Amino acid sequence: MSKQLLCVKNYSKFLAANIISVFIVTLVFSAVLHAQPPYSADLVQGGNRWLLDAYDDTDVNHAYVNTVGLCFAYAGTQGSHQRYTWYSDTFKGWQGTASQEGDQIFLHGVYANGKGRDAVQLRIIINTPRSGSVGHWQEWRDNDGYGEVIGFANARMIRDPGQPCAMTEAEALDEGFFFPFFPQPATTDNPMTYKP
Amino acid sequence: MRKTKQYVQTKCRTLLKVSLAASVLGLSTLSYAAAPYLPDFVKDGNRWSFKAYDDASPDHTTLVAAQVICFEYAGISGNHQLYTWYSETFPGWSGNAVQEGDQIFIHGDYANGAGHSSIQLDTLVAPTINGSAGTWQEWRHDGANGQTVNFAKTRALREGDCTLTAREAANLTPLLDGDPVITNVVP
Repeated sequence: MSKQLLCVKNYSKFLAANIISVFIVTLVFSAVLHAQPPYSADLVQGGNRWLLDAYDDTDVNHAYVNTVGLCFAYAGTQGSHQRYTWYSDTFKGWQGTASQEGDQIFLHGVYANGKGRDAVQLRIIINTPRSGSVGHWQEWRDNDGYGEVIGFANARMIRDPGQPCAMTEAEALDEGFFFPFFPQPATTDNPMTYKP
Repeated sequence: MRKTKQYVQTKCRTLLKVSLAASVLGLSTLSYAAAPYLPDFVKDGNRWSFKAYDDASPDHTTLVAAQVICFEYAGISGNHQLYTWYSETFPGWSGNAVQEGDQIFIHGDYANGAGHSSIQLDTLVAPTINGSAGTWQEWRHDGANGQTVNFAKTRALREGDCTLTAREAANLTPLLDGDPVITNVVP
């Protein structure tokens, strides 16, 4: 085979690979442009209880900090976003709203009667049965200044299939409702670091 | 033809080795990320203009003309560069920020603590463009799941230095009505 023939053959492969790449990129971008709920996987179907892990992002080894349980419920759609409400079944009085667009999920919430705040951003929900996602988690408290930073953390959230939420939202927020494994956190406790 | 094949194979192996070396180098750099990082939010100008776009809108509609945030260094924690920040355009809006490489996380409060903001930015582009993009969540405490103001996309651009100091900004009367992500208070 001559060098010219080999060159033409290689060029054809290169061209074919490029055409396929452009096709895939176009497909992905058109899917993003036309993103509309419902999305699958989502935070409820397949199990609405999730375990959220925190890892200290300031630490060079991203040391593990804590795991908390979160329960999600559908809360309608808003444009291209699927909305949820959520509450914790491991940290009493911690609740909020979440929004999903494709594989991006954003959570906000409060605890300690609104004195503590959380924001969590996650990407790439892996479909069941693994159902995992990773991202970042910020937690802080109001201190009449710039805010008291509790943590800037890396986050991993995995679905806890087969494990229904330990309580309903009403029970989770009921001041008189206590389990042995759902103690009342002190007013100075924070979800990112609290270990019952 | 055999010679040509050998030549191509040799080139491929060299390319693979170079790619591997570059990957290892890149990973080791990530493993040892440590402040200070450049570019940052203060050097070359601490005044940044934030625009917001409604992420739920298929067109990502613009929400505010711009909010100005002023950053100040606040030390280092582990591999994070810390900042405090205040707004020149939305009185009473302030908070903390951290940077690790080209990732920036910002949180803050407004309306005397009734409103909360969290912003995440990626890719702090170096001068002269000085831009970055990311997402912005804002909500108000309502005694329940919180009243979402917006889940937004954002773009931040450096605009020189702030004219208000942190102390001057702290003396402004906090704005109780309106929310930074959707309210433009600058005429």
